Amino acid sequence: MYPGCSLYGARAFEKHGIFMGWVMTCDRLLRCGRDEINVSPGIIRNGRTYCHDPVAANDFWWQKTVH
Amino acid sequence: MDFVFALARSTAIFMKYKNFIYLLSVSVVVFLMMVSSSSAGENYIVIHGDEQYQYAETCFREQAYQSALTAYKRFVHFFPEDSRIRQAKFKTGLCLFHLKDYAGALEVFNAIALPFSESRISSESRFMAIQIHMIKGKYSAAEQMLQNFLTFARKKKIQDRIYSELAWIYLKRAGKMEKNSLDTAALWLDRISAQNSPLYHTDQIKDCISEIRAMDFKNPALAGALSIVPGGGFVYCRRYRDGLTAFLLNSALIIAAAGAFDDGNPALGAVISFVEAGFYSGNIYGAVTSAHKYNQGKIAPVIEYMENHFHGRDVSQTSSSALNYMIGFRIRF
Repeated sequence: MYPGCSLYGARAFEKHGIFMGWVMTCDRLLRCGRDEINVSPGIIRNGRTYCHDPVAANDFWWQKTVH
Repeated sequence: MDFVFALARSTAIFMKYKNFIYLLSVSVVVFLMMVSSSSAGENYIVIHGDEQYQYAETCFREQAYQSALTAYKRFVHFFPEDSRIRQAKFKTGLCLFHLKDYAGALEVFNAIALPFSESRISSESRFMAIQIHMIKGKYSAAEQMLQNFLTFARKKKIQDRIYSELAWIYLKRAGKMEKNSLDTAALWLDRISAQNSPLYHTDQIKDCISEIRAMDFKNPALAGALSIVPGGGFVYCRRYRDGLTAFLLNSALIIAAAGAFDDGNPALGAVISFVEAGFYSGNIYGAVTSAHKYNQGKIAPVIEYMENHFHGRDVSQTSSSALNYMIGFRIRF
């Protein structure tokens, strides 16, 4: 999956702080590599296809995007 | 003595063929002048406004946008008094748009759109600027611009197009699971006049909205509630492997924490509990997100279908003037 769980966690902490960052990181660890692959779109990185699951794909329902 | 003799002989010959030599000299001079004037003529070319504009149009039609951009810019620079100057500037913006220089295109379209008028060029520039905002996902900016446009627009045709675009902004937002977006989109569609309704496929879009409303969605709150038993929410969202993982991991951590406390090892129990709290919360959070993703996964194909079939087709087909190039492209978001 892209980004990897560690990078995902770092970005979650960075974006949402300690509490939600911790919750989102644990959520990602639970989902990593299983049913999410059937749901999320693919992304090509360095010639390989990964399941694209960034932080924005998991906080869209409560985090308003600021334009 | 020989020299004097030769000179005298040459003079005699010259006198004899004088007329012929004059004629030959004049012919050579005339020939050289013709050659020099024709070669000088190849060094410059006079291009009129029509030719420059037609060249730019040809490049644009052939989708050679970089060449067209240069040609239109030349036209604007060298023929600033030409009556087609606004069209040329607009096409410059379109070239930038096709070249994906959205910032540059936006600058051009905004410059043409102001001061406000309801001329075709001005209106199209405004709509193009709005579409660039939408491409960049700046729905609020696009909506703001449309609302401002609506304040000044007096022509029914333009008003209806604004309503249609506003509806599309909310359909896009519905695709991103923003609350009440479908209802707002339907409200904007209702404001389109009956006369122009077929033009914007209002009925078909409303049918699709009804189809979306009738879909079997997952309730995110219920998914969260079911996650009290770890994995229950995932199973509700048809994520069976995630559900099993959540159940096993949480169960194992709960048992381990309880065992640590029972064994008189509260420090270890606290550490495991801390980790378990994260995974338990993550299990609930993931279930709620999964419900939203499930719903989004059902709505997105319908929105995409509408986008491909109903957005921006007949609008362009109604163009009858020089702006009918709008037929040529459709913008995907």
